[in-house]
Amino acid sequence: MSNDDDREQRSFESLLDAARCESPSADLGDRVLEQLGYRERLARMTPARRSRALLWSSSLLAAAVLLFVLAPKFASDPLISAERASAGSLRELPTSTPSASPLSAPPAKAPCALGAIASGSEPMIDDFEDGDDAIRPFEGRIGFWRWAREIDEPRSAPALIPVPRPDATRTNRLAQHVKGGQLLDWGATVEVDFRPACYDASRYVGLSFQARGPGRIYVAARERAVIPIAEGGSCELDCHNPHVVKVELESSFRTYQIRWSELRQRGIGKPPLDAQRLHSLAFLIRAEDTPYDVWLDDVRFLQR
Amino acid sequence: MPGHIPSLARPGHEAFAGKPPPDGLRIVSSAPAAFRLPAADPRLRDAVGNHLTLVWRVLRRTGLGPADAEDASQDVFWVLAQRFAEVPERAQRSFLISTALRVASDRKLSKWHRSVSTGLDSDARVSEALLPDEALDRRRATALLDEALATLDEMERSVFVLAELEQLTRADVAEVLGIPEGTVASRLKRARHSLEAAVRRLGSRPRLAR
Repeated sequence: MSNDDDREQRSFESLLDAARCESPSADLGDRVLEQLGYRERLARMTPARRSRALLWSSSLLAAAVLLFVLAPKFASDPLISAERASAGSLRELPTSTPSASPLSAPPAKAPCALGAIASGSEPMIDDFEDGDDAIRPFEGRIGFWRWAREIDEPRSAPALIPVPRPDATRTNRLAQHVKGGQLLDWGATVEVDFRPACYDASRYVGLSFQARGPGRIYVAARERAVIPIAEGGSCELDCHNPHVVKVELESSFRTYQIRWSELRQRGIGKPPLDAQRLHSLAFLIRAEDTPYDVWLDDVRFLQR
Repeated sequence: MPGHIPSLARPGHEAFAGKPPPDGLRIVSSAPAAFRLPAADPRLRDAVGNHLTLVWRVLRRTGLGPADAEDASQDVFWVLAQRFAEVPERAQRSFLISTALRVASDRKLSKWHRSVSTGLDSDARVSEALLPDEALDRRRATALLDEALATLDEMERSVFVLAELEQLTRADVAEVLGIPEGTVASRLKRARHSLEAAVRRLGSRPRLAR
């Protein structure tokens, strides 16, 4: 064997040695175990929520059938018709009226009947440190981060997995990062849909998050009322018109705080956001703001 | 001014409300719930302690970036936690390795992995400047090796990683990959030959030569 061959062989072996010595970061074991515990809690939680949703669906169906059967009777009753006209709300019917009982059942389209209600004590939505696409399961929140783009096929928005921050520290390692080229239609979004698709965040006054640009994004809190029925919302007209606010990003991470009252819908005379019926949160990038390169971190509700 | 807010419609993009995640990779839940082992169980902690480095390295050498390999390690041990009762302790290592190979293969095929891993790699490059010389040499060496490994076909790569890098016996490699020992030997020989050629072709002699 020539000297060159010999040296080449040793070099090759040294490559293999380097690979054999490589090891993961020292705290990976702890993080894996933490993540397993988290997934376990999530797995335990999901079937319970499913059965609760099933129970509620059955109750609602029964109530709807009851209403359908009894409605002609109530319409012909002059006392109840007058009460309905003057009160304007089913809830204001006198409970002493014998026939009020069927009407006090939840209406079939009651929003958030299946949803979760935030108590206001755990504002963290996701700090991304668990390294997965699920939000933190606090206060009944379930949801998964998605990166939807106009170029994706419907229902194929990829799950969004956190990546290391450029300025990572030991306690803040990961963040969400999306980067893409020119888009031509509606753009792209980083979004999380609540499951069930109605979340009462009215105990909070807004949203806080860290972000890094450059460029600008629109922060949207989507009510069920702006999402079409076919997509889990309750919208029949002027859909996909969420409450948004424009945020100009800088080239380093900054914390932004947005109050629900700052979010506006397109159009004149539109009502303010109803934070009791949130379908999803989204960070929108419009086509004219592409190409884009956006980082997000520490998304949380804003406490009073 | 509300009137000036532009249209933010997303035609055709239904929400995922009430539906399972479209990507099955993140939460693997095929086994009955009864088989799940709590994360706090000492047997699972032992398995993580004993095999994590091996699993992570197999994931790395089969083509995942460092951070992605960390995520994938979680997937691998999640599968083990779910099927713990089915896997005897002596078979744990083989089970984890074959699961790691499958998880790595799934990840490499998925669209979002390709888009995300690009960002991870660039992040790793940025931090090179902070490394001491020896660590930098090692990183460059592994980067070169990974580049060369990427030129092998999937089976040759797996055989080489397990037999040469992780130094499993041929019998173990044969068991993990479900191929005869003789095939392991022939593929290993071919893989080594191809890999040496690839390293030469990729131009740079490894800097670790002493």
